[in-house]
Amino acid sequence: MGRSKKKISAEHTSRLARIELPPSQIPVVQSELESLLDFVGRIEQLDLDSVEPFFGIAIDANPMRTDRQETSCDRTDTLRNAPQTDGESFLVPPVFGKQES
Amino acid sequence: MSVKATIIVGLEVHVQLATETKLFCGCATAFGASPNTQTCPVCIGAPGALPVLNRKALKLAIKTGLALNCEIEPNTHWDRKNYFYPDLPKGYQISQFDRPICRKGYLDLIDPQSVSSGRRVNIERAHLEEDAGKSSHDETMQGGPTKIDFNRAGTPLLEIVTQPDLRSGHEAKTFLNELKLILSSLKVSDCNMQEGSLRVDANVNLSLATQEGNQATPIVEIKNLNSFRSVERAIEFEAERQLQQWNKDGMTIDQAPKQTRGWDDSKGHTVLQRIKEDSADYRYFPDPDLVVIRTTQADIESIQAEIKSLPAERRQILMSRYLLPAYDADVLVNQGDTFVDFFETVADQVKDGKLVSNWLQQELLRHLNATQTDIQACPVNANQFVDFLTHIQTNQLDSSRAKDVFEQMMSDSVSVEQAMKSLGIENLDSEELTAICQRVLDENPEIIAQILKGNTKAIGNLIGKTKSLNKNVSPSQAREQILKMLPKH
Amino acid sequence: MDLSSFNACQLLDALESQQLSAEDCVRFFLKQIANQNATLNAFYTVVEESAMASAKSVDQRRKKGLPVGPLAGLPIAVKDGICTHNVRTTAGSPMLENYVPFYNATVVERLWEADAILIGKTSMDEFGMGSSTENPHFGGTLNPWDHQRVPGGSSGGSAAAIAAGMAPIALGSDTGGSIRQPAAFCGITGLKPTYGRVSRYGLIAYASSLEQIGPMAKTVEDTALLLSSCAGHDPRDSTSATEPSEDYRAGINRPIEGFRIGVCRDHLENGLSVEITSALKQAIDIFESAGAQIVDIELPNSSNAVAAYYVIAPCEASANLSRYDGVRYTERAPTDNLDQMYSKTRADFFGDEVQRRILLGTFALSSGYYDQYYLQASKVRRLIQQDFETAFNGVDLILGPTTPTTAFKINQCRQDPLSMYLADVYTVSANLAGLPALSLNCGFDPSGLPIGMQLQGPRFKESSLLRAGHLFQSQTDFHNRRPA
Ligand SMILES: [Mg+2]
Ligand SMILES: [Zn+2]
Repeated sequence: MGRSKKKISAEHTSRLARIELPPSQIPVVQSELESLLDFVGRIEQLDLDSVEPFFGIAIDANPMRTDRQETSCDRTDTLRNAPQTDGESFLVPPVFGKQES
Repeated sequence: MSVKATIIVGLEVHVQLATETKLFCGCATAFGASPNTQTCPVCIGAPGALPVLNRKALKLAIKTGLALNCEIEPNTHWDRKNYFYPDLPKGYQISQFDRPICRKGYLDLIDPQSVSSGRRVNIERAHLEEDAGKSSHDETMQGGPTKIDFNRAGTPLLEIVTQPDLRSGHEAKTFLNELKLILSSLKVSDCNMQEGSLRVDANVNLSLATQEGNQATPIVEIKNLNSFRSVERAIEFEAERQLQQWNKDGMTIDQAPKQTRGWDDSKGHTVLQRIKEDSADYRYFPDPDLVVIRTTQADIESIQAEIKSLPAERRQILMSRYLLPAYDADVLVNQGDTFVDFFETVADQVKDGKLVSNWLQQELLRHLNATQTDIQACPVNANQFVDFLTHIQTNQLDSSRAKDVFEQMMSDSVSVEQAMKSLGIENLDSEELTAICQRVLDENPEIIAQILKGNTKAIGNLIGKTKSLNKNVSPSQAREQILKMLPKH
Repeated sequence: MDLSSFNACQLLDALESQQLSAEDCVRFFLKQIANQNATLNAFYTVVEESAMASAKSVDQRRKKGLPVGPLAGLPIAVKDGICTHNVRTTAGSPMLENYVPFYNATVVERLWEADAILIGKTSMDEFGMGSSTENPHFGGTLNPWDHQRVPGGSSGGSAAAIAAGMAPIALGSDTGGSIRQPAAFCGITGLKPTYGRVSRYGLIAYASSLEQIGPMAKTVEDTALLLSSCAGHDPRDSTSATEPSEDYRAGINRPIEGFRIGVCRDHLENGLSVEITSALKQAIDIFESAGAQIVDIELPNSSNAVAAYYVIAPCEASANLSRYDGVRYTERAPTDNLDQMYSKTRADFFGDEVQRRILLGTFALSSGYYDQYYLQASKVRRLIQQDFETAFNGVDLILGPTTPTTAFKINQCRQDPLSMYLADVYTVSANLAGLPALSLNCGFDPSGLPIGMQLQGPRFKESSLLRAGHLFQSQTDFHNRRPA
């Protein structure tokens, strides 16, 4: 397993994660992330080509539910933790782009 | 410079599955409810809530996959597709990335009037995923807030992806028609495009045979396609636009990024929405809240057993058992299963498939279209229709009046006898007919003379006169009777 | 009545025999909280009124001879990462500072049915990401044994509450050691159940494939009592096991004669202080004299466990925490710009450690890096699981340290995240493999700080761990000692 040449970019990653980093913080975070990646990167060198990954869940049953309607929540409850609503919908700053699907 | 341009089209179809409840929770999926009244901790993405798969959604997906000749994945799993959008409650969509439930299928195009008929369109995959909510933007464009309604969030979708095997807008439309027929026939979806139960995106570009070899134009993804007709028009428009663009700048697929363009149906053109500079980074990984779902051969067989005849098979039956031409079979099957069932019930008794087909196509369909009803709500049931056609076959009803009678049956929802009666159509008994014919013969010796001289056409003249004496006279019976009564020479 | 020397089972006996009313019991612990919480900061929210009302209802039913649940009248503290209907649940995050859930976690529902009485929500590291409960936003929690030291984390509030006698039992959650490490630091007992044993429905997710809710208490028997009311299949959690759960308290007295106890010498002799090693060796002697057989085992891949954990957990966290986007949950940075709504909200209302892990996970999952990090770590995870499988072919449980050190000083690790991550070296393997693990007090270091012993078992063998742990506590009195 070859080590990737490309290094983490704190700036790009923070955009992907939607976490704004003030410019002064970028180099700090950059070096923190680099040292953490350096530490976790020790597993990169292991030759594990023949090993099946384990995602941590070993359930034999097929857990599924019946297509039967359950009572939905009261809208007042649904909305009550939101920063901005009109009593029916959640409100966000205007969206002009197009959505993905 | 003239080049031969081939249109290359692949489709992505999002089908809303016909379940009562959402993909991972028990909220209703009904369309049109007041905003945010069909939500719960799971579909609103409340901290700590967890998804549990809807068994029926999985089953409908497998059923569709089988109908599309797909391989069914025995160990399907769920992945998180990460992106931020206000109507995406969890910041990721639960979808399927590397082990979709259905893979590697195909659908054959059927269109008796086109050379495309019989062409095979490969289905790359069909995977299950949850829908997002709905954003309503400030329509005044004053920069007011966007409203988010999560009622639709979590609704089960089957995303069907074809290979780029379609070669025209018309082929795309034919494919979609057939797909919709199958989905409706399986009751997998209500396929209502207006309510978003069927959403189509088309990926279009051109393959150009130039002197320097084959080249391809950049791929354009077309969105906002609200009808199959729009799909057809948008693809044709886009092919033309791309050719012009290529003539202008010569940009090929490797030189320009993929674009997303929206179809404007009223203006009949596509509009640039977005240029995908770098491909979106969705950071797919297996959803740790869900486990692998195992589908056994026995599961697949029991679902397969529930699939009745699919449209392609029904067309074959109409052609072989009822001796219909391919065109007729196609028209009937395109009306859906209930219509074909109606046809078969009637034709089984009337024993003349073509006669039944003609009446269904010409009169019944015309009436249903005019009154905006469908065959389920047809005012004349199959038995009444059989009765009607039998009256024609046995000359109890003359074909010259049959359309009037049928119209009467449809508008008043009555039997053939009742319709004939209300139109004053009665069958004359032979004595009455004989008397009328006798009177006409008596009153028109000069016409008789012409006939006897060999002008047999003049007999029509006599028949007309019998009809004016009594409109219930059947012209064919009158002819028969008159010929019988003419003086021999 | 001074109830501070009572453990939960003793309280329950007194409640059942009506020597003690639920009201008096609840009032006692509320008073303990009132006296100590200003100093220790183990609770973010205390629910006096509803607790007293529930206690009254239990007493009335008991008096009338009506049926009551198996934990009737027993006060319980619940970690603030577990959703409680209409009771503020912060997960230790500024993002959820004012969040009031509109549903109950399954475990909370089950405790309610068992007639346990919720008295409050306990402090934690933000979203469970940390090992010290030095929560900068809500203020740090102090270790009751030494106020200069941390209680451990992330379930530090639950551990401190029990150690200080503010609650007889508590729920914690454990993603990489978050029940066991604070249990060790605070000298109490804590159990991380087998993955799937206790429903995660309503546990505010940090790393879904690793975490479990589990009981924390003074004694092993108390944890068994609490586990019995929480465990069992939950149709709302797809990862919940269908294996039937047990009455874990019922079999706890069965002898452990013939038990084979595995010991990984490497873990016992390297990287530990002398006092911890010697405490563990004394524990081994106790088990041997009770008829257990000690077997040397190897866990060759455990040296890579922390690295694998710090890939997998941040990856899962990066997605789990995407829902905090300023649309639905309490906090939003003031802005008219949608993009800033996201990036400012998440910058302003997530703490540093949470941001760090989200960034780490986001990067590790980003295009081109999945195989290198998440997939590779998941393969290491397989090796670790297989190590245990091999070991458990020969032994019934594995004995070792819970932590490399006793409770560390406040601020000691805050500047250096890596040193804090390394403190999880003995605990993360059980999370990676999904195995049950119990931590209990097995002695004290020269400064009087508790030392934790960890017992790990095969899947769904909580009962073996509890039997062994109970035997140890029946022969020792470390669990009865309380901070001054
Ligand atoms: Mg999709
Ligand atoms: Zn829902």
